[in-house]
Amino acid sequence: MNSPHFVLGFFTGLIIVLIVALVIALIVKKKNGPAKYDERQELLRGRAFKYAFLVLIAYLCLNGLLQVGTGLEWADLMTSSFIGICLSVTVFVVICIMNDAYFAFNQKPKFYLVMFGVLIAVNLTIGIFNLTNEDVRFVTDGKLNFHVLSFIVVVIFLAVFIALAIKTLMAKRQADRSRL
Amino acid sequence: MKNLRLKSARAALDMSQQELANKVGVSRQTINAIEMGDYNPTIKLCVAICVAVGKTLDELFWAD
Repeated sequence: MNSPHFVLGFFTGLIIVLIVALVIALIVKKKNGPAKYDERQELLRGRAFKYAFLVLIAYLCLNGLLQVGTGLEWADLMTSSFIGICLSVTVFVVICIMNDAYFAFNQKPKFYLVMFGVLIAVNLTIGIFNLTNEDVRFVTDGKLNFHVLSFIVVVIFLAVFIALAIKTLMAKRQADRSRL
Repeated sequence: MKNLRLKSARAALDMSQQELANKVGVSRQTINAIEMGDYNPTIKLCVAICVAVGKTLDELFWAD
């Protein structure tokens, strides 16, 4: 059982992250107007949602079977749930990016490239700080704990960042060639 | 199958994919996907493209 201080700190952090995300979303919406996706993008986003949902179901089934079948609990509940959500969201985002359906046609990917870069840097700093701090343990009672999440976030955002960078470069080259 | 008729109609007007995309209210990648034959547009988008380049549906989208 976690201490009340930990629970209070965790939910305070969560609320701050949600408020910051909401403020950024409102600023972007005010600047560019509401996101507009065309018919091809809507179709591909629907497909990406389907694959992300299937990945989440497969992850939950495998995790459940592993625990019931072998009794192996590799991570605590919060960590394994968060990893499942991250995995599913990453599948959705990467499929959308690779099909040019992540950004609405009135949005610019450059801002998000910078934002993802900042998120990678912040989480990498937290992860390295935790790694060098002797008081922080990544494993409790043989299970991975929430301290490992900063590295999970780095891996996920790195995958998204690379996909976005490749796609942005490809789109730029394609746009240059499109004028005959 | 590539839609070369759309590409040549656009080129005849000296219009880029981005300009056509802006005219019909879709992303540039969607216009590119239509030209490359990777996406089959709805009749609504076909009509919008025809109006934008001044061609008929038959001229741009009817199979040979």
